[in-house]
Amino acid sequence: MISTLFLTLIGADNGQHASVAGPALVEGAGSSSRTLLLLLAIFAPLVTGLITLFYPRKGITLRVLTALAGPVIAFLLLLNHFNVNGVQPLDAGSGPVAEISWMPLLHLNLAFLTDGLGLFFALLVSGVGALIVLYARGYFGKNEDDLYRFYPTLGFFTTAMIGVVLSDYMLLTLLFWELTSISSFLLIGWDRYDKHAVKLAMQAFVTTGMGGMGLFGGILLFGMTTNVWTWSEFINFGTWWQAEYASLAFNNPVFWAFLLMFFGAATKSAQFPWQYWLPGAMAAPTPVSAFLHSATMVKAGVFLTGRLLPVFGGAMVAADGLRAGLEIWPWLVTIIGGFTMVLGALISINQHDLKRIFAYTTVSQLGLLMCMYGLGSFAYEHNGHLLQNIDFDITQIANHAFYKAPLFILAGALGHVLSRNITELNGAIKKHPAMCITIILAGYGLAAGPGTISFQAKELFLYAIYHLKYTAVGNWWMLLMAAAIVTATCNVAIFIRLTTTLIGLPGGFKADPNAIEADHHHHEHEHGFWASMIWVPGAILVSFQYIGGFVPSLWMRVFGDLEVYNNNYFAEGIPTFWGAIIHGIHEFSVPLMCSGIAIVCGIVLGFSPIFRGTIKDVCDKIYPGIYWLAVTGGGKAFRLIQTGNMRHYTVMVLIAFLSVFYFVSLGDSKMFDLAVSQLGSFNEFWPGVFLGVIICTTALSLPLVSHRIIRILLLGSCGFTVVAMYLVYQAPDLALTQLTFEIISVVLFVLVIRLLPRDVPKYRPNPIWRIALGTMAGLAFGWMTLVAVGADPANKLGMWFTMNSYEGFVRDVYNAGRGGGGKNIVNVILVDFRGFDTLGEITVLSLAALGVWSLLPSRRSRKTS
Amino acid sequence: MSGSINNFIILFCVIPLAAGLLSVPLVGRSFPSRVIGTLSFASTFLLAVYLLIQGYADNTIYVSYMGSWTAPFGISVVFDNLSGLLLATASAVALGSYIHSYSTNASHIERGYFHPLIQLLMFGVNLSFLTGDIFNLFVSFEIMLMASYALLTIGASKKQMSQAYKYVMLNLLASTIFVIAAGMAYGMLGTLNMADMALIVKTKLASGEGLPVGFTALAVMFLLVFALKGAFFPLWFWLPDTYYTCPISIAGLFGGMLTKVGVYAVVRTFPLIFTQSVADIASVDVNPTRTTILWIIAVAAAFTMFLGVLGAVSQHEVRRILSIHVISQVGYMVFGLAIMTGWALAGCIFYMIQHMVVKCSLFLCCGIMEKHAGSDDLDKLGGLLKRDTLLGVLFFVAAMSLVGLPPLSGFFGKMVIIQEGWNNGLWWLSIIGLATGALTLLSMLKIWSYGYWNPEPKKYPQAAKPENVKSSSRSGYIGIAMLVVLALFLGFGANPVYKFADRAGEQLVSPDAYIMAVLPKERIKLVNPELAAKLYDGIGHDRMSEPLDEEPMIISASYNKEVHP
Repeated sequence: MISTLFLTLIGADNGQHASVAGPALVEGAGSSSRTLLLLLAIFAPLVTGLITLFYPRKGITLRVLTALAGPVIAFLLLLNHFNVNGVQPLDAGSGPVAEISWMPLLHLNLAFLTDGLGLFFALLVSGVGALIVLYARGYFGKNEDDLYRFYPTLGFFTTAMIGVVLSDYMLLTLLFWELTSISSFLLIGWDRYDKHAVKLAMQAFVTTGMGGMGLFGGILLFGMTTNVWTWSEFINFGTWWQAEYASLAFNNPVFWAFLLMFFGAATKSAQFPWQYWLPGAMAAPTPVSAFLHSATMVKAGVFLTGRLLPVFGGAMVAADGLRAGLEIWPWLVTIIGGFTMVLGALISINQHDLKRIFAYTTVSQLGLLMCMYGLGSFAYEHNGHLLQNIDFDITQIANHAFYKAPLFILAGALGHVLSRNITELNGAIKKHPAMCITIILAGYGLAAGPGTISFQAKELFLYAIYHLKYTAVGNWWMLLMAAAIVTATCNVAIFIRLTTTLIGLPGGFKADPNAIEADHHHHEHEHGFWASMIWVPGAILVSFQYIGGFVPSLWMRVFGDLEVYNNNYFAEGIPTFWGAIIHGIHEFSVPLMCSGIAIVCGIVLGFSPIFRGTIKDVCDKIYPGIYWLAVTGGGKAFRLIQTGNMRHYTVMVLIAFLSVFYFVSLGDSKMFDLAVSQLGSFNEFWPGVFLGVIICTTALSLPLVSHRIIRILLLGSCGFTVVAMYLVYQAPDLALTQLTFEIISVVLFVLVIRLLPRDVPKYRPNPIWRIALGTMAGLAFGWMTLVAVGADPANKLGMWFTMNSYEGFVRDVYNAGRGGGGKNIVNVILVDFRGFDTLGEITVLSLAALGVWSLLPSRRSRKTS
Repeated sequence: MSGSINNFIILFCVIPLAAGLLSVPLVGRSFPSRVIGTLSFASTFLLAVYLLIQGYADNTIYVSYMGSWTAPFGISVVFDNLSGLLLATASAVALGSYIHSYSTNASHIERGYFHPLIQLLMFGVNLSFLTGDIFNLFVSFEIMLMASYALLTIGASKKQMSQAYKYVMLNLLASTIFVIAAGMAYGMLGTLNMADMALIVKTKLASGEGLPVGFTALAVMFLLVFALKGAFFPLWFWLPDTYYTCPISIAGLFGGMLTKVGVYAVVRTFPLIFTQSVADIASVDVNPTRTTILWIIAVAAAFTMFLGVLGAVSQHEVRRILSIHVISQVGYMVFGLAIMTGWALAGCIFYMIQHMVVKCSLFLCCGIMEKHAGSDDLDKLGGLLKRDTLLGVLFFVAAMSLVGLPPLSGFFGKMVIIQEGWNNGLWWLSIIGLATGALTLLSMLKIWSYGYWNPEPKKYPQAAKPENVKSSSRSGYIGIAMLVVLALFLGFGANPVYKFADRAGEQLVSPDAYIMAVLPKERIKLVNPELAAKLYDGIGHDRMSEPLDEEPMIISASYNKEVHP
């Protein structure tokens, strides 16, 4: 039934990709209930986590079981979805899942994309999430407070992560993406009273938050340009997009959208130079590290890159071979990934703390995965077929999770019972055999030894590098191969040192009693079922490594359907490791040879005395640098204009206004002409000119005088001249008002200033500047006044007021000829036509009175008290 | 039907005015004053929400003429979607901070006429959101500013006086220029009624007569005035120190509201009058004033956003971080103004309302933080999450909303603005907006990690036992929680809110509906007969009693799609 649905969909969707505004809705009876089930799967961990908040603190077992139920429910629902609906093929317009409308105006609805990549990640996250719940119980022991806080936060994170990988709407992905940042911030800063941990949590959040802003901008830019807002439409973009936007032009918005999105992916997945936050995030308790850095958070960037690959990177299309993506993709992604890979490996071997070692190998592995997607945009000819240079990407990703999570889990376990410092673990196997064997088995996966799926995964990667030879890259493949060999060498060496140290063989680290770094979460040891949870989840996960290694057919049964990139080259699935070895030797295969070189070199390096110290990553300085630049540099820039000095503020406000005003007006010749024509009639009435000159002179002399009383008097004389001006221009009511005001203000000022302390200004700017500024301001306002007066519009309202102040003007159709009924037009305007303004002004006066009154008594009462 | 509602809109002014007057004689008796005040804010909030929904459903703009003198001669007050959204939010913010003030205000502040002052402040704020007349806008600004001067100096500590002095002086400067500019606007256009001004500008543009000489310079004057009140670059000097000294509930209210009134004035007057879009006038290519002014605004937006956030990050006191942050967030609104399409204005409006709510709740959280620690210096804070988990949760939600992480409210405001930035060639502003977002995150995490995580400092004041603080600030939590719930609603319910905001944006960029609602038919006919013929074609004569037959506005989201397939 599903397949027929797909067929109809493909049929219905052919040729109209270019015009669709939203994904075609599938109105099936089952489809929206599937959406609801997926929603349930996403939110189950959060909900169960929140439920545990309501349990009494003592109810630990109940708490664990409830918290466990969340990811388990999610896992089962997703598995059921996978079994019933299968993997959503990428060339179907829209999936078997309907969308639920949430914010259609903003292109953000609830719709899910259950293709291989998304489903795989969702299953991985929920599955590992369930194991981490158990591990946390073993790790925190009976520590009620920690468990009380931990499960809700973990559930929040799990939900966010499943949401990232399943969302169909790009903005919905972004939404969950930011939620992973928030929740991981809460998890990394677990030791909230440890200033160092808090700083590191902030570093992680700010770095990934920066990337989140990039992703945000990229999605918006891409959506605005192409009107594509969902991943399913994105992947089915068709060819019209190529013609319009594929070129590597700097005015191509899609190019910039990609760069912004990749910035988001790179920060999240700790690519150079943003890798510093990941080892820093080791401040988190180990369950968090094991979850965030093996399967989830850091893989979000890899996931996003995988999502972008079919369009921005390129994809095989049945009809026309390889559809190329953006030209920058192969170089950018491959080079950044490759460099991060080798950098991470080199730093990881120079560490002592187990968690730091594994953190840097994670950085290295993330680089490898990025690099793999970078290589995926190349294609080569094989037996007449054009093949895309990427195979079994999901196996690569799964493989990493299945050895890295156990490594972290066991690092935490060893830290619990002994120490996390590798130099102090000599001979630990005698005390804790189960733990040590598990970590060695997982370490073997890290070294990509034959027998683990890791081996085949590494071979696949080396194959991809080798095949660069047949593409435009030519012999440069050797450079990347050398990087891969260095990486593998370091990984093997780490395994060798780990094993020899734990077993106590020669070549391992010897105890160094001076350097003891204890894990933060020491508490009394438990025994029994729950105590064993501190290593059993690791053992469960690591078993997948060996299943994949020895029985790849079983592995393929599980992961094969989820795989998207499966060339003819490996048509029958991943070969067994002995098959691969025999075949490789038979064919004299270069990748296998390189792998052999790496193993030999790794063993030599492992036993050698070099690279045994600890080093620091240079990039650790980046975040403090940004912080310093923002806080100190930014503060300086801000204080440059926020000086705290009132005089500066006034000057700056005036200058800002005047510069914009003159900028706008000086280019406007009409404003000149109009002002000049107005000025032309200045000699109409000489008394006005005379008074004007007096006003200007008194105003200009103000800055020259420093004595306060004289200033007040000057100001007063200026005001009285204005009164005279009103009089000669026949406005007696204004003159009267102004006169009263001037008398009162001058008298009051003089009286009050006598009571004030003597004014001794520390610094008085040169009066020339004041006069200059004042003149500029005066000229601006004067000029504007001339222009405004010169405009003389046709329909001034003033005439209406004159006509209607006593009785309605006959032609006043608006107010039915109702007049103001008063003989004094000023009164009528003030209390009738615009009486509402007067109400406001009265309120202002009363407010001033209230304000002053509220100041006075409080001062008196303070003096008495 | 809408005719009877029309006169209700003056209640937004009458209720706070009456409440303010009532509580003057009740000074010193806090309980009755509080009841009156709470009722006043709650009723204006409910009324605004009701009218907003009703007006949206009927697609009506409510207009009331003061003293029954028709526009453009008398004063008209206008309630459209923009006013409705802002009135509702302003009342909610006032209510939240008012309830919060029960627990934080010292008694000498209440005795200093706190209740009447805050009511009259809201009278001014509400009036400025409602008025349809430039001079009346000036009056409402004066009411608001006079009330805010008084509130800033309430309690009369020395620090307050010196900070209020700067605020008063700079705002007086702006007010002076405002009056002068209003006079000049009358000289150029012959009217001060906003709808009438819009109509005249439209007519002048359409008839080919062109804008009056010096119109751009006039627009610059108005822009300066509103920009100073809205704290745009480089006119924000009054802001950073202002909220630093006054009682926290007042700081919260001001931090949320004061700058928004300035921004509102630009949102109201510029698309309507000075930078009117000529998209619907076929004969005119471009409004020259619009081009110039939008460039000025765009440059201001860049500096406002970025310098603002740099200033905030570098501070070390919670109040200072929060108050300087106001500038950077005003920058986003200015960014929306610099684009000035309908959808960008919708984003700007959404950002305004969410920011009012979120910023106020952050300030109020700061108030309780201060109660715990006796200071807002980050070095003297720490470990508050354990002392007061509820406060921590509220603060975290509000802070993340401010940063704009989805699905919280700030995200949706930023989203539309940045999106429109990409869409309209202002990519450099979009990039700055994104960088500002990242730095905002840094500054909020700074407060969070220093204040709520980190070890508790050894010396918390003896009196501030966690239980005492908690039990004495119950109403504080209620106030904050109300606002945070509202912020959450604005986030998760962004779609319905955007419907209103989109209609508001559309009403602004194509002012025909506004002109038609405010001005009598005869006036439109007198000034622009063609427009009158177009507007009243097929519509009954009595425009008061008959709703419009069809929706004249285009929802701009779908409009944008048509432009960019």
